[in-house]
Amino acid sequence: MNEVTNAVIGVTTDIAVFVVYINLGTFLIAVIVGDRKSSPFITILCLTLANCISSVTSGLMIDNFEVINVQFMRHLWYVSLASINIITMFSIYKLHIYYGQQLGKVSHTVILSSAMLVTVQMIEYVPRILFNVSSNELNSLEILGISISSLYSNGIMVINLFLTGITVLVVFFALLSAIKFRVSALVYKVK
Amino acid sequence: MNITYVFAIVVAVLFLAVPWYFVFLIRKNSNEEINNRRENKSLDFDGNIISLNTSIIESLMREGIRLHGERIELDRLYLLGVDNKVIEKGELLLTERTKDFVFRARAVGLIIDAYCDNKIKS
Repeated sequence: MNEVTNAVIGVTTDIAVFVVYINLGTFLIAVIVGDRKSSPFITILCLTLANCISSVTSGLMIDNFEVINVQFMRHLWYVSLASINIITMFSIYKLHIYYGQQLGKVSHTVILSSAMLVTVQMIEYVPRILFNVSSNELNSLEILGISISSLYSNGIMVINLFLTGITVLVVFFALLSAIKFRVSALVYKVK
Repeated sequence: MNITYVFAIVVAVLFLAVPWYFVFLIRKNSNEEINNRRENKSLDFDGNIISLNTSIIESLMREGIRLHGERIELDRLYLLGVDNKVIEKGELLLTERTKDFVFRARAVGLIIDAYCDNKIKS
């Protein structure tokens, strides 16, 4: 059982690291080609920062899980990760107001996904902390036919991969539009 | 009741309610903005400074501009920086009406001229 759990943690950590690298890559491309006050850029900036911070904090918490009080670490795990998502939502909104931008489709999607991430965190937090349900019992607890533990691990992974896909698409289209814009401007100048 | 349980209940309620209420508020505001935009199809440029980005350029190309109450369709719109390189961002301020409409834009401390080919809708 422990081997299986470790393997799952290993795969999840690998995916989390992959998500962070992809996010950093797309952010760098966005810095080069994108409009730095545009809605997608603000969203990618907040998302990249959030992913980096949650990756670092979750790594620190995994390392110190047994060292510090386990019950306290359980609280800290869910509350800190959910807080990062909530702060991301507010930061995206506030930065849009600061730069006088309207929230676009990408930012709406990221805010909605962050809300879903917080909900998934709370779905496992409530039974674990309030009802003292163990990890084995969580496997048998189901919501809409899906066990809570698999909903938690797979849900977070799927939402993060979905967000990464969105950022890659946004940067790809920004790159395409920048190339098109410069080509049409060249054609105009030649005329 | 144990203080841990009280804390957990408060956290759970807040963390479940706040994000979704925030999403609801944002959706509501954006729907209102969309309705406002539907009412004023063309952008009004008379003396207004607007922030310029790719989405505004797309909107200009699609819906035209309104100048002194007259709707003008745009054939092409390019913003050129002082070094004649095309830029896509900055603050756009309509200064005068010439044969080709000239927009003076300010971005990152530079004065930028934006040239706009146009035809007046008959």
